[in-house]
Amino acid sequence: MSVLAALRDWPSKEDDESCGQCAHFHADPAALEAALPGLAILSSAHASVRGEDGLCLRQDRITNGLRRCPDFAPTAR
Amino acid sequence: MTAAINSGASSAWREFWVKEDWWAIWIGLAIVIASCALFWNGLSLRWLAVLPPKWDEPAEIAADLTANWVRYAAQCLFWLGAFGLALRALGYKAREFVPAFLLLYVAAYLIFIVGQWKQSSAYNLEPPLIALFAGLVIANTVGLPRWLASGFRSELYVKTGIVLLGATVPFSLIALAGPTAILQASIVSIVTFGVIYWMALKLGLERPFAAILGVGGAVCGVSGAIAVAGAVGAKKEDTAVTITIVVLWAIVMIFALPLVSRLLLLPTGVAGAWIGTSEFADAAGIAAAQAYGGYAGNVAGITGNAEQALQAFTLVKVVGRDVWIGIWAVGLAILATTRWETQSAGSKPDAQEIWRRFPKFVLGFFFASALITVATASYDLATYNKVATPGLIAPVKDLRTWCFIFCFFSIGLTTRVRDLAVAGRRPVAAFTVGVAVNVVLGFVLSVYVFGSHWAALGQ
Repeated sequence: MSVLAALRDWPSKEDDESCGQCAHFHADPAALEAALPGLAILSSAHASVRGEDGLCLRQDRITNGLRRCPDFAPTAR
Repeated sequence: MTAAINSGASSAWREFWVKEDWWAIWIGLAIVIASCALFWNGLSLRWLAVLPPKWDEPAEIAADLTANWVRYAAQCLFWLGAFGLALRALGYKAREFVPAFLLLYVAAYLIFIVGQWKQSSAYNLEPPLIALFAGLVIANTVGLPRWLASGFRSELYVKTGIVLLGATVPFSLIALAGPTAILQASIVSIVTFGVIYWMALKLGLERPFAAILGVGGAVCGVSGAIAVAGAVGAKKEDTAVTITIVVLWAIVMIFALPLVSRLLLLPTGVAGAWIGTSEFADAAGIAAAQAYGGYAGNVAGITGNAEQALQAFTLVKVVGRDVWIGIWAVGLAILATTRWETQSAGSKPDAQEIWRRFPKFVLGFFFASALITVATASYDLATYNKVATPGLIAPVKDLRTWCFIFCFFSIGLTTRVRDLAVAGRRPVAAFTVGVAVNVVLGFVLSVYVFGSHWAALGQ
């Protein structure tokens, strides 16, 4: 993907099928600090720098809650 | 793991009470505004900003406690209310926070007493180092119940302290020294990132892993690593390993940088700039800078004053390095999306991420500085030193010191080495090479290139 195409395509807020709305995505600060030992020693899951990041349990990666991916699974409401 | 709590559509307003950066601003600015209001009405925040006096005989401490126990109790209640409100809003339980904080306050008082002993510098008993060491020993030997960690929130305490630090740094000083700080920090950040990233790739690590290691060493430690982990879609395991390496190196540097600076008798401003360049986290760097600042006037040959160490550190680390984390995250997100074909979880580059990831507590530092600068604009230097310093600035400074002691002891108490992820040789090697380059380059810039600037900071 070119830089220009990527810039054109960026999301600016969470939509209905963004990672933040996905069943695989965990953004609870307590859960994130439990999943990443040591995070709370010299930083925090409550810090602004974390933005909308969370943990994708399907890909086992830290990911931005504003992105989208083909593995989206709606949360049970 | 707890049930999934998805972030939902986070409005800009929501951030004001769900992020600790904003709570640090609310608490810090409330103190600064209260101090200004009292000062303008002929009063002072001094009554609340009590701390143990310098002492030679234990009887002096007993006498101080007898005379001022109501002030200590009021101050403890004040902190309990302020931090308790913040942590309740962040989702912590009051029944866990209250006993934890009471323990923290009593420990901080005892650490203060040791630090206020007139012979403490002769024995290297600097309060930040005592707090950290004592916390580390407790956490890794007898341990404390894990639920007490609700009160050991080192980042909230250090951010509040940095906002209060803003009140003691004139805005003109930020304007004058800021560009040098940014230049020095930028040189070191870019070189350090490049070295760690290049070494990590040479050693066969994946690009997202190399990127979070690089930013962890070059920009703002664990906070930088976690911010870029989301931007590039780093694996959870790699992020945990990066956190381990950064935390352990940061703790080594808390003790090593002041020790080497002391051996070389560096002026406090110079040492503060070096620590700001070569420490990896704000809390760790504040501990090192405050410890070194404590040598001023107590160790022969060390020139400058304690405030210079903290001010130089803050300018280089916070203004020079931390505030750029959003740009690093967006830049690396662009790389991840457009050039790194192998990873799939990187976020699309989004210019708004620069603001979303901006360490907002830095705004509180600037606001506090601006408030005090405006409040004292009509004073000449003599009046400022005679009236504003004891009545307005000193109480804020003493409350700041309490915040930092809470922070240092919390770092020690939450560092359980056995809980950290096991780091392999390759990421440790890549990071360590970066540390070596960072320390040497930071020293050369702080001592030789900009040495006269930092030695004369604020004078």
